Amino acid sequence: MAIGRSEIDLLRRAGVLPATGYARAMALVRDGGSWARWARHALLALGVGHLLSGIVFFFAYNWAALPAIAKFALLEAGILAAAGVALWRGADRPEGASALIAATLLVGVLLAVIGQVYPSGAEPWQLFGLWAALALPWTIASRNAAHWLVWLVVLHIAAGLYADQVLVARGRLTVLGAVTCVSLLSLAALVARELLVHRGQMWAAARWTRLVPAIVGLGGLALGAGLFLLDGSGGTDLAAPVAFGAAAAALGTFYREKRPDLAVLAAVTGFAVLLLIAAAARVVADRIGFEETETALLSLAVLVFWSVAIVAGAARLLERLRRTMPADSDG
Amino acid sequence: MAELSRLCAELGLDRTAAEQTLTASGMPGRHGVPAYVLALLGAGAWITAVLMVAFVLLFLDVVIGVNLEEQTPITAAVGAASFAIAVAWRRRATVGAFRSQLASALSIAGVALAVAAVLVSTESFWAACAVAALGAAAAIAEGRDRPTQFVAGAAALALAFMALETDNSPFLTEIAALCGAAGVLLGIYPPRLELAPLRTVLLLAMPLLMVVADGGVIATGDAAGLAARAVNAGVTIWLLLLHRRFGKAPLVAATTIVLSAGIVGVCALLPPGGSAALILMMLAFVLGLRGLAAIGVLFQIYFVWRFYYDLQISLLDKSLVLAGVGLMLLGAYALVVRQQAGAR
Repeated sequence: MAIGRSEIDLLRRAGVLPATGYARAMALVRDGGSWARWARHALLALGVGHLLSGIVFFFAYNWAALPAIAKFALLEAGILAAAGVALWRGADRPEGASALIAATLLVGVLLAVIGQVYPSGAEPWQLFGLWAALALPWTIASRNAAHWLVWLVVLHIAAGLYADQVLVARGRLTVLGAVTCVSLLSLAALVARELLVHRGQMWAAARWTRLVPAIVGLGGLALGAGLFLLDGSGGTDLAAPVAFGAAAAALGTFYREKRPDLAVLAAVTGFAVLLLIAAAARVVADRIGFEETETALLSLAVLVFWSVAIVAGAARLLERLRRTMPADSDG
Repeated sequence: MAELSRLCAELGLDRTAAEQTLTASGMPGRHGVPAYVLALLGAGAWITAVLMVAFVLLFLDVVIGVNLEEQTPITAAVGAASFAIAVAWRRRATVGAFRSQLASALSIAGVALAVAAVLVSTESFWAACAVAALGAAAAIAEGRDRPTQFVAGAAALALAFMALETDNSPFLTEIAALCGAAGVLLGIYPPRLELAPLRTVLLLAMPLLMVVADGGVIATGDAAGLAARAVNAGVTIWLLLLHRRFGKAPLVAATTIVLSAGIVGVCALLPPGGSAALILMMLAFVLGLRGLAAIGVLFQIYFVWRFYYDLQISLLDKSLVLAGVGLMLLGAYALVVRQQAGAR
């Protein structure tokens, strides 16, 4: 019989396993190889993070004695060196992938220094957009999930700034619409991830590459929908709640039927629970109200029972899913 | 995953009893509810409890005419009664999802009402802490509701730290470090009672305190949290030795000495919260807990960032320090990779 951490806990609570043997039992079921890899990668990430932070701080100091040409030369040499390390070690190895990530980040620093030396009045979204565009070829070449995450962060910042500074500022989009659009970008990344994995690109298959865009995308849509629901001004921007409903239904069906994943389903359920409670608060505020003490009492009672019912329903749903889905679907 | 037979052979366990225990639990291989599902249900119970507290306070005020500030014993009694009703519900043979969730919210609301009543009437954090600790003890003794144990335990600890802060205690950081050490002990030698929520509260106490109260930098007292750093370094080195013992690696070896020196260095340099985050990462590494590892890493990123942010040197000097440390870490990485390649 194969056992894991939960079985060890069960044996401990039943008294079959003594307290003194618990940690050793946990060490036996632990995947030593993957934890050794985790520790190595953490050390590498810490080293690269420190080195890059040092470079960023150096240029943030804006050393007046250093001529502009020297600043550009230093950064471009850094980018070349990083690309060279990636070529030398291979982009598929952790060191090579880290070097390419460093090159991507140095491109951003170079653009910032260019802006520092030649102030052009360009808006920040243009810097991030250009950065994302210039770094895209390296990101594609790296075939590395962490590199894609870094690139997606840059892209999201560019998209968010563009939505805020251009579309919302010029009245072409509401704030809720902007939140919805940026969140849909995360879900588009999730779709791309699933397509890549489906086509055998296993470098994208780590579980976090599914969870991060799913939670960020759904969370953004839930935030937009929640703001719409709790806003008593009677706004008519239905994009956020409609997008959330559609995304939740699509993700719920896909990760139940096609790629069973309880964590994504729990995220969908959790955000849906929050929104259903927010929707009830809006309905109760409109129909019953909180102004008079008697009506406030009734409103609170309705909300208490509604929230208990919704969370209990979510608990039953997740328990049923857990029991019926494959054993490896709960992470 | 490992085979039960191997586990029983290595630890000298009664294999028949182990098999019976796992079979009796219903689903061999699928016993544990994932932590994220528990967190979701706990958050749901907490939201309901907040609504319930508002409802009960309003109900007492409007319908019965009991005001929290004037008639605190009645409010506290209502809180205790809520907790008792929740316990009675959970003791029934079959508890549906609705009743289970309602009971969770009711017991959390009960603790919150009793704590609020005592806090308002006595204006003493210690008295309120005692009530919350009683609630946590009751939840532990009952052993059926993790959210209540977590919330009551967290409330007791938070109130204790508020009381210590009010008393101008110089040992806040040291006490938080001892809480972390207690959490580690509960993680390594767990009792049969369900204490996982309390363990989580104890482990998170110090990093959270350092984030909320001190910004992770200024330790209480004149010694800049020296004792706390020593406790944290000691606990982390103990976990390292435990890990090497489980892996049947020699305890007195160059690797152990270098890693221990590294741990002492990190604990001495970083703010006390950083060494507490290191404990979380080390415990997660030893026991194989991915969720705890993620929390530890996030805390560590914050404390490392705070360390450099608060360093009173120019940006140019900071850049040199950062780049120097980065190169050292990359050198250490290269050594580790080379050593492991050699071992293969």
